[in-house]
Amino acid sequence: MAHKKHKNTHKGAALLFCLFSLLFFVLVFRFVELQATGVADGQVLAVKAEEMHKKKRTIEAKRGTILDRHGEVLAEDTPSYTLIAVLDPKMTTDPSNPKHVVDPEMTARKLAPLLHMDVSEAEHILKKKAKQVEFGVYGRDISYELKKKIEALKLPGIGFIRDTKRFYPNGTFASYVIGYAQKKGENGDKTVGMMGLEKSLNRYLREKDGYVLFEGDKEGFRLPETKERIVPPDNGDEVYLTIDQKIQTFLEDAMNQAEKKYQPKKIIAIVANPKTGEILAMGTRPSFDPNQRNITNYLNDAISYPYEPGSTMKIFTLAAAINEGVYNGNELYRSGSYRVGPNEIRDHNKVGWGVISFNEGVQRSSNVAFAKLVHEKLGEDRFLQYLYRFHFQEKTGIDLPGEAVGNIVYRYPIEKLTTAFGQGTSVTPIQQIQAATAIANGGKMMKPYVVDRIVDPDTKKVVFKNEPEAVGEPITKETAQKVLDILETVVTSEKGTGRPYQIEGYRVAGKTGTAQIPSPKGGYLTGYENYIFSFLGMAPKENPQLIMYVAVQQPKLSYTETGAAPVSMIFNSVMKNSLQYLNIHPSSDKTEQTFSKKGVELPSYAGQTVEAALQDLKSKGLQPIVLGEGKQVEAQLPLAGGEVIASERIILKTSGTATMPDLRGWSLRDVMKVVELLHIKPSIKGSGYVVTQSIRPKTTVKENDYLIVELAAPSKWKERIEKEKGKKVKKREQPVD
Amino acid sequence: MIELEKRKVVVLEERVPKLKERRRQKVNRRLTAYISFFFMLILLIIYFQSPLSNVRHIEVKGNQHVSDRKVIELSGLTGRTSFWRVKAEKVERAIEHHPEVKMVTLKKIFPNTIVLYVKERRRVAYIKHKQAFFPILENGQILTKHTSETALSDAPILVDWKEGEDIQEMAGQLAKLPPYILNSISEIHYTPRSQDKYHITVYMNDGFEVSANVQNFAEKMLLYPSIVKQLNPNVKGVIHLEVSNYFKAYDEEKKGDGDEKDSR
Repeated sequence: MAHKKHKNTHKGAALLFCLFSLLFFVLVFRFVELQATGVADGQVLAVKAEEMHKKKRTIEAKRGTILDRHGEVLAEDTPSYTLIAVLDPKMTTDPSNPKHVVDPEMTARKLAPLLHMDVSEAEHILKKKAKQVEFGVYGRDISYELKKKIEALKLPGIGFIRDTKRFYPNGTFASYVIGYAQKKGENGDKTVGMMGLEKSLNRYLREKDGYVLFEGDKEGFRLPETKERIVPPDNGDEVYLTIDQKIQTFLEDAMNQAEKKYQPKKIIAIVANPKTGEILAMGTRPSFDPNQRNITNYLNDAISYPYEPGSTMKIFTLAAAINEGVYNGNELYRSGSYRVGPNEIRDHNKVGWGVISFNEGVQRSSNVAFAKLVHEKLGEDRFLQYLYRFHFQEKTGIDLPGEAVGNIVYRYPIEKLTTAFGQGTSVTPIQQIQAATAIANGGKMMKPYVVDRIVDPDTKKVVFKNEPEAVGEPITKETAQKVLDILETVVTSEKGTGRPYQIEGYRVAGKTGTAQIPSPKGGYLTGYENYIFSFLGMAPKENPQLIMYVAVQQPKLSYTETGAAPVSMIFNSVMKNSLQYLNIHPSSDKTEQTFSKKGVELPSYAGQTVEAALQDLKSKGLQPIVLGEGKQVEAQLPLAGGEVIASERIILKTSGTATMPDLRGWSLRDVMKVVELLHIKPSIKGSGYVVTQSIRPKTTVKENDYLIVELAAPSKWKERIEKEKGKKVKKREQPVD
Repeated sequence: MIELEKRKVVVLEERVPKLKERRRQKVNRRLTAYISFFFMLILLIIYFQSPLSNVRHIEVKGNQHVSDRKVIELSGLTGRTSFWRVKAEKVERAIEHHPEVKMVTLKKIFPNTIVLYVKERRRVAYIKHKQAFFPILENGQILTKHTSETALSDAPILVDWKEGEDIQEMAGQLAKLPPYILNSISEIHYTPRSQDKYHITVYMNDGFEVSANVQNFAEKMLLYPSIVKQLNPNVKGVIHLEVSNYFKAYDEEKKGDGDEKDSR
């Protein structure tokens, strides 16, 4: 019995042994095969594994911000929220803490007022047979504040999805310049510019989302010690405008007040810097809030509404006559009416002022004076040339979309003369601003622009930079000065039409305009208010820093008011506030330079661009000297933190090869600063101020070069310089002889 | 009866291992405490014995003329000094022996960094003496050891001065000047006259010459920026600050007419 059992055991063991060996080898074989080929069922396993573990998470990018010249935000992406309601009771696991809408009636009652929707409508949505619902337009673009309010209600099942929204913090503010951007695309996840700069600069502003690829577990958590691949988001470029938020605010406020008081059909206003052509503010009425997009007019009237400008045009006729030397302000003429062929030109008061001088004619805005100027003195052809010189026949090329161009009407003799005082021929406000920069900027006409620079926020690189561009010089500097002188009398003279535009403390030069509006039935509209009242002015007259055009169309005036009332209301407040804000001292105050008793403390310029450093130093009244041709400042003397007095030399060293500055007239100590920065070896003869230097100016200098400098006492310095010059001349002459 | 006995046995059997276990736990806990204490001690000894407790980084801040190395050398601190044995007062005093150092503040930053904030004495001028320049400190001390062939640009240069009382007096005046005025002076020449033995001639960086007196130099020079503001920078000349303040252009001087423009 025992024996038998023994035998069976052996047999069983052998069998089991074979069985497991076989299994073992099969497994080993399969294992080796998989390892060697990496293919199973014709599928590459590595790919499968990666598919299983690879997770992708998007990193949201931001659409480019639009900022004003000082970096104030005008348009940016801000977080917004979309309201959702969970209706599925299955989502609630713990009845004491429900995760779905338990009481639709109550929830609707509480939510509806906050979302500005009907209670019944909200209730209808909340009673839908769905897992989760949204509230359409009412529940989209919810601000953070509103989200907080809704959260405070502690309604079960109500939640939010985070999103971004284009936000315009200033509301109705240069709306036609900035335009607006909106969510577009199939899922509404792409923000696209629809108007203004948002549209025309869309390719700079638009963003590209980035993503992270990584290996994760099924919950989406990253596995430890695995590599991840990050494609960084490409945020949209930041656009800096020439618009000044402060001045634009002055303008918007003034326009709001004028709109409220006079209810005009339109208001158009532009403020620009005549030295550069930078637009500092631009606005029109009616306008819209880009956050709400309550748009009634889709055109930016300041650049795309050509109309007959009226008497502001006389500025350019006057400039042409002065520039051609045919204007004599003291010459007399008979005002009232002027006959040209079959037609008659009349002054705006129909009867004129008797025999007056041309200067008075300008002040009184006499049409006859200008018709006479063109017809008898300037000649129609020469006048046309000037219209071209002032670029009235073409677009200014301002970097805003949708610019229109006026139409020079110049077929019949009468049209040529009406153009002289701004009727018949139409121009846009921006054309007038561009032409007027020539008057305010010593004859140089500057192209207007609103985009200052575009910066990539990720790399801080400047992608695009606008520079002031002179597009012509229609008149000479002297002419510009004379025109300004006469235009000042328009505002100051007792007879001047520009008297309402006087600003206390500043000298304003400008010209009023009253344009007739063509009637759709032909001819012109008649009536006390049916005009476009305008003013084109610049200040301060001595050296205009600001130029401004305001036009108000068909305001509702009481019979005691003139058309100048709404225009001056805007012009005066904006001009005065802006001049004060820009710290342009009132003209009447003798510019008393109260110098600071203290010295100027130097900041560290290391790492700054040479340009920025130069500008800063010059604004502090110091004398910067740059050694080298690099773009960045490496070192400076005196050191950062040192205090200096005005007109002190500040030596900046840049990267790259250094060149020797012209040291003549420098003090010993200033020379030592250069020596220290360039690491050269000096040999000094004499004392006082430099007369000769062994390394000639503008030659390159290496470390440890020898510099021999001869100095002379200041009282003898001039003679020594003369002598040195004499020597040099002689030396040069010798070989020739 | 049998049942009762049985129960008792069971109870005893249960109780013995429990007691045993409790005792074992007690012993274990004590042992862990001992061991950890022991290791802590060892770690502490290792820390103090190893270079880990030594000063590793010495930072010197605020020095301009005295080199970092010199300051560290004076401090006596090395990489072998224990961080815990650094006595702030002693180190500060050691460094302050240097004539150019006005004040030192030592700060320890755990685990092994020492920061030395150095405040130097201002150099108010350099004296030129036979092709060598000696710095003068604000306290009037002349550094004879620190000569250099070139003057640095951080202070004006005294020319033609004989050592002694005069230099001390001048240094005292210069120390009173605010830095922005001191920075605008290039050279100070000692030019005594028969009636004025303290007369000096000063060359400014901006090209003006100043004729002044040692005794009231600091007081008068305070007016310099406001005087220059009113002058035409292209007409060079002498600004007289001896008694009354006035400006005299070189050209006028040459013509010999005594037309003096009062600059005030």
